[in-house]
Amino acid sequence: MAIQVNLNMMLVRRGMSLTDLSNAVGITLANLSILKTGKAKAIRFSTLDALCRTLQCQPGDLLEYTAPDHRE
Amino acid sequence: MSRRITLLARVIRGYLDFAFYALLVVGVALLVMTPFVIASAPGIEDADIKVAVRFVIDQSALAGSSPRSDDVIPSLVQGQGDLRVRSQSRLVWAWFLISSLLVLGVWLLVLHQLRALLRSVAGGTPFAPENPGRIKTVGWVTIAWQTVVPLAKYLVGRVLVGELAIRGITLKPPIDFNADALFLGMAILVLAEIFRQASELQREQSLTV
Repeated sequence: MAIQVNLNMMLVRRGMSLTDLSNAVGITLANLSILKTGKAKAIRFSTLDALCRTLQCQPGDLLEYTAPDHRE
Repeated sequence: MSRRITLLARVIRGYLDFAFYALLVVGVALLVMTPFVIASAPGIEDADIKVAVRFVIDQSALAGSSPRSDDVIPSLVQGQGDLRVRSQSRLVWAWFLISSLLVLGVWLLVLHQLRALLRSVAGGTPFAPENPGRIKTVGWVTIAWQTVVPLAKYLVGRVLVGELAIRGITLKPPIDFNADALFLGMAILVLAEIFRQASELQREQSLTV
């Protein structure tokens, strides 16, 4: 998929673990893992809202569009 | 998934499990017995084979054999039913036993698919990715069954009826295509497609965070 989720990078920047984020946002570790590994098919606005609030960032910091031709 | 449906799925699966293993035992027994029966089975001449036939009576050939030839009396000209044919032909018996084994195999396949389907329903995952394929298999088997079995019965009937010679009566095995069952098979295929889309939605839902 051309949309990449930069959750890992944001976690490193904020010095948080996935478990900490899971506890703070109220999303299961399994779901966050799906998001982190890029397996997610869709993301709810409520999830994005909770992530942005907790990580103090914008949706654009978490999601990035990469054109298929320039991915490599 | 409501508990009632889960319970119902478990009960039906219990019945299907019983039918599956009973048929498996019968199938194994038949498989073991077949070579012996074909080779030299005692009392084989005492067993009958049932064959469906349509018959046409040639009144002119039977003229004079009827006790009353009055035009007012209704006369039998054609009909259909089952014949019990006593055959000692090993070829006929081999075909009969092998076709029985094939029928058992098809039944086991369908029962196996239904059991797996019900297992996933009872387990709370009716839209498991494997289920559309299972339903599709049942649909295609239903359609193939309604096409192949009447044809096989017709061919066996021709062989058996061909051995019989009755003056004035023409015997013909019928081709009994069951259109209702064919439509049922098609409906099952449509259901499989609906399940495939539901399964896709389920997958998307499970990957929505």
